[in-house]
Order: sequence, then structure tokens, then C-alpha cells
Amino acid sequence: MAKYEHKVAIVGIGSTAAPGRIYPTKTWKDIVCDAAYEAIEDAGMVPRDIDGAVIAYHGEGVNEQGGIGGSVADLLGIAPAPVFPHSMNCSGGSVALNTGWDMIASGKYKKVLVMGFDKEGDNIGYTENINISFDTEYDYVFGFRHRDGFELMSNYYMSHYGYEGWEAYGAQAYQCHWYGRRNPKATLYGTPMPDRDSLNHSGSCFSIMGEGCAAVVLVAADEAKNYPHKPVYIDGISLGVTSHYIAHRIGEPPMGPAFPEGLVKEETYGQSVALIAAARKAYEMAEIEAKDIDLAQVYDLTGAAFWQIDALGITEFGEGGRHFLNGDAAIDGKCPINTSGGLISYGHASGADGLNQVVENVIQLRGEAGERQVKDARCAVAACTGSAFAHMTCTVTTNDEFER
Amino acid sequence: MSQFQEQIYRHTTASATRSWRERKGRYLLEGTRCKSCGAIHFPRRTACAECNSRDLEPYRHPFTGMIVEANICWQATGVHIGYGERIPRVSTVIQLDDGVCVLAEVTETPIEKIVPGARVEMVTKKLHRESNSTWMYGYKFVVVDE
Repeated sequence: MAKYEHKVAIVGIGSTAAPGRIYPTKTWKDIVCDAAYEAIEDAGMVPRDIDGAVIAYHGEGVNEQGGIGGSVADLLGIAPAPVFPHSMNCSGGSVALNTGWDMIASGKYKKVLVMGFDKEGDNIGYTENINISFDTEYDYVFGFRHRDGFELMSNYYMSHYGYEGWEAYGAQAYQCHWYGRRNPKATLYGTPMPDRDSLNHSGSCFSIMGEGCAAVVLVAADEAKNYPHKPVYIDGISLGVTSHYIAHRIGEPPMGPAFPEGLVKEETYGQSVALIAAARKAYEMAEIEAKDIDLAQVYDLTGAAFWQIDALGITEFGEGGRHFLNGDAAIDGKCPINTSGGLISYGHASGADGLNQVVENVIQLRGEAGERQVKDARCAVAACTGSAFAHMTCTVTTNDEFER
Repeated sequence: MSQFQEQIYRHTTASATRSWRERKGRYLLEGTRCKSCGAIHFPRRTACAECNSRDLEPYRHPFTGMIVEANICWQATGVHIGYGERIPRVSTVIQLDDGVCVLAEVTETPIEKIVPGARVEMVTKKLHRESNSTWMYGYKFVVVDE
């Protein structure tokens, strides 16, 4: 690992259950406090132990409040500890984790709380909120929403890489439903499994959106043994960004000379170049290769999971959909994907997504995932998408058993 | 009651000043061209993404191109500006004849003709109200037979 002041460990996790539902009786503060206090308790700490925090939300439209840092410090009772806010759409939680990592790695802070939440039901114009994952001047005002970007990208991917019909969607949705029925915190937990054949259509891979919060507590790795749970280390973490404009995803990515080395531009159409760059950076930090990955969490809205699996190097370009079709994403497959149930079955609380993925990886690496536990999980990766592939994060987590 | 005959789709309408600033982009597909490296952009840029030069000039992209990818969505999205309750919602990525890609709606065309590879031409259409109640206009595309 490259030289930083400290290696970073996750010693506490918390998340609100069923983030695919709306909670009309709760304020955003209730939801944030539920997850944050759960994480602090999980770490065996009290709130006043926290000396720095980061919080992410989809955007100000979610709770109609900008500059929430002060409110968060006040509501958690950790003032005057700093709270750095992020509004980076769906990957906000993992972007916040990047900042939290920096705070520990630099040595400036000792116990950092990272949170991400969404409270979209409070937004006046619910649909407006979904739209503002955009640059707005040339997409939003024309009536497009960022889901159009996902659908366009998916259609391109499916036709470009020779997928016929929607079987890959069906396979992905079914896999996520299978995991979600084994995760007590998943939105669809306890509900009957859908019929496999009923999922072979374009609508089966839309996330169930709702409200929720996820939180983790970070400390320096050399102190991690002092906390109650088996430590999990953040070995690699990165954020790759590019323009919001969807047409740049299929046309030329606007990266100029910073375009990732060794790639042919034309071959990356329909792929997320920002995630490829982010994954390279995170793997380099962690000193791992794609073959070391035991399981991964990806952002499974429409066919997005397919090219994220490609970008993470788990499959070759174009094979991401077949990863599900071949059963490689299953619990006994080559590389299990979305063991929490993913957005499709676990739920999609925008600002919390990136952290929910990491929370699931921590549960797996601690060996506490019960029925959905991946055998011998030692290295887990999370990739999250913000906007239509403008903010891509990659987080590599390992436990003590991992050997390079 | 609203002063507008049609339903107001947004509680907070887009700023008229903001859309006025971008009028040439929406009416004329005007982007930018970098005087240093020659790269062309749409939407217009403030600095060149290739060479970071700020020496850019207005550049009008051609009004013709080809559909690269299309999506037909039969789900209405309620308050959505631009589409409202109209379905299907047609979104496409169009590669203009100078190679630049734009996100746009294809209109006045039978659905079966909205497929990758189809030739298209730009048309100017009424979009939606602005905050001062004037209408915003902008580009859409139609499929042309060649």
C-alpha cells in the first residue's frame, strides 16, 4: 500500500432497514440519527467520541435544506466536531467515505463518522429531485431525467454486445431478489420470490426507491483491535468523475489526455470510463488485482451492473450480463454480486447507496451475513454510480485473513 | 387558479435568465470550438476539455446526424417538464455529422423508425414555460428518409 500516515479501518456500521420505503412520520434527522447511533454503538463508542464527520445526501432538493453540516452536528450531539457535507447524487455516501478516509489517513482526526441519507418523500416535486442528477442546461430543461441515461446506456450495451431479449435482466433481478430474501434489512425481505420467467423484461431491474441512512465509524487501523468487532480495512478507495451529459457516455468521453492508458476510445462506448479509472486507482492503492475479489456490490439500476462488473475487471467488456446468466453472481459463483439484494431488492435510498454497499461488504468480511454469507470472503469491492455515470466510486475492503 | 391555461408542471420553474443565456445552443446547436487544439464541443464549454484552453469560439454544429441509441419509455412521469403526461417518452443520443453526440427527443416520427442508424434532422420546438411565463423553445429531431 502506498504511504499514508495511517491505514484506515471500519469499526462500526449502522443502517436503517428497508430503504425502499417512504417514512412519512420520520424526519430526515430521525433517519440519520437511527443509523449514526447504531454505527457508534456498534463501534462501542458514545457520540461524543466522534471528532469529525462527513454526511452525504442526494442533493439539497431532498430535504430542502442546504448547508446541513451544522444541523447534523447539533442533532447528533457531537458539536463542535466538524461535519463536511457532500451532495453527489446516488454515490454521495461513498464520496463521503473518500473524505472520511482522508480525515483518518492524514492523522488529523481520530474517530470519524461517515453518513449518507435520502429523504425524498419530503421533497415538494419528487420527480424534480430525480431529475437534478444532471447538468440541467442541456438535458433537464429538455425534459430528460437521469434514468433516461441509464436506459439509453443499457440499450446500447445490450445491442452492442449481442444480448438478445431481456434474459440478462431477468437473471440479474432474480439474483438480487434471492439475496434480498436472505437479508433481514432488505425492503423485500419476507415477501415471496417472484417467478423467474416473469422477470425477463426491461422493467425488472428498476430499483425500489425510498428513504434511509447508512453510517460507518472509521479509525486508524493500528487501533482497530481495540473495538468489539472484527476489523475491516479500507485498502483502496477512489472517486472518478466526468461530465453529467449522457451523450458523452456513448460518444467520446471528455477526458482529453487523462483518458485511461491502454484503452481504445471506441471500445469504451457504452462503458463507464470514470469507473475504469477509479477502479485502477483503488486497486493500485490496495495492491490487488481483479482476480483477488471475492464479492462485489454494484449499482444495479437497469443494465448498469453489467458494465460496472466489466469496469471492475471481474469480466471482459460485454460479459457483465453473462456473469448473471451463467450464475457467476450467485453465492457459490465465481464472484457473488450484490449480496445485500442490491437496489432491486434491498432498496435505493439515494444518498445512502454508496455506504449501504460498504456496510454489506463489512458484514460479509466480518462473517456475519448469515444465510447469504459468501464463503471465505476476504476482499470485497463496492462500486457506486452518481448521476448518469458522472461520479463513480470504487472501494476495496479486506479483513485480516486476506493475503496478497 | 393558475394564470396559465395548461397545467403548471413545476412548483419552481426554471429561471428565464438562465435559459435565455443558452438560447443559441437550443435554437442553433451552437457549441464551442477550441482555437488552440481545434476540438469541438456540445454543449458549449467554458474551457476546453482536451487542452484546457480558454480561447474558445462559438461553433455551430450541423443540423443533421444519425441516431446512435434510442429509448422508448411508455411510463408517464407526471410532473416531468418537457414531456408532461405525454407518452411515449422518446429519448435518443444523436451523433451529428461532425461527430459530436447530443441527447435529444425525436418527434413527429413513427416509433418503428426511431432506431439506431436512422438519419435525423434538427427542428425547433416549443418546450415549456419559463418563470416569467414566456415559452422556452429548443431543438428536437425528426427522422428523414434518404
